[in-house]
Amino acid sequence: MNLQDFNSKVYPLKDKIFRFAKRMLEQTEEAEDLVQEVFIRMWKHREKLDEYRSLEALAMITTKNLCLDRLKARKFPVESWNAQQSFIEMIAEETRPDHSDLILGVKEAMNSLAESPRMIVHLRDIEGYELGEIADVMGMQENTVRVALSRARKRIREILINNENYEYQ
Amino acid sequence: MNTSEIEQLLGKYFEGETSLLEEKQLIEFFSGDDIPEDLRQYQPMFSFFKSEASLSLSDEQQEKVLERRLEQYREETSTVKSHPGKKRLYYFSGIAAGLLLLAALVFTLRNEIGRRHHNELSNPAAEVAYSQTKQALLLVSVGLNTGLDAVQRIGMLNNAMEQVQKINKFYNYQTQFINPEWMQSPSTNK
Repeated sequence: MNLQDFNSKVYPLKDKIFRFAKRMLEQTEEAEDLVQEVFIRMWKHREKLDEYRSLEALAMITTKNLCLDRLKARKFPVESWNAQQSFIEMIAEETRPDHSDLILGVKEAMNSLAESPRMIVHLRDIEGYELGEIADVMGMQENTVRVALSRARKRIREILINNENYEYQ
Repeated sequence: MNTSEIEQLLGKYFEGETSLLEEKQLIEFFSGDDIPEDLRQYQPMFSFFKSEASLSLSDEQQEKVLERRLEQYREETSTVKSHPGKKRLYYFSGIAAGLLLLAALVFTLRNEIGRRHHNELSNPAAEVAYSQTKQALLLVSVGLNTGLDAVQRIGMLNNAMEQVQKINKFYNYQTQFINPEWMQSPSTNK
């Protein structure tokens, strides 16, 4: 794969990679950084890229793995900094015209999910992936994905209903 | 699409059984205005999905990242490049420091001992004391030698005494024969 192919086939995935990374890392700056890292990884393997069935799946798998690595490395020491950072980002998002409190509530509900169900909901409800594609990215059976997706959606609904009740009390 | 159809779709949605097309219909429905009261609770969810899907990474953001990365790379290479040399430098400087310490220790010790010798030799009072002691010892030794002559004379006297004792023994022997009773009387008295 040459630079032209790379630019036309891999580069357009940048938004999807960015959204996926931001969903997992909850930080814009780190997600921006991760997009570059994914591209670097893909470019390093450019000789083999043609062999893959789906470049998009490969990009998403790479994103998933890099995100999980970062989350694992981060877990303990950066927690407080993280909270601060996400608070700043919350404020930034609140100023977005199309984001009401209720919509931010959905985001929080999603962020409260564990890594794997969060990824599944993201890939399905935001990126519109087929269950089979999600199964490829997650390294799961299609049926397992469906069960996890159903459970995660119900969990989000539950959190939102609880929040709503809490607000009216 | 009427309310009951939407409710049915929602039921399927939460079971994970809707198709992508059906989910698109749901998103479209909930981004509209005429949503029945009892379905309104689902609206934030679907409008969130819709708005999140439009999030994109701008060229400016990309450039910012590249700049950050380039800077990071420069920092890393400037520290990493000198790394192996630095390690060796640390190693040898450790040895050098050890040797220097050892040399310094030996040097100061030797100096100390040397100075102590030098001090004793160069101290005039000590020299005087030394020569006086030497003279005194010489005097004693000469005196001893003259005394030795006297002692030798005493030795001669000793010889003479031995001779005298021999004569005395002989005399006693003689007297035993001449006057045995006189000789025996003191022994019986014992």
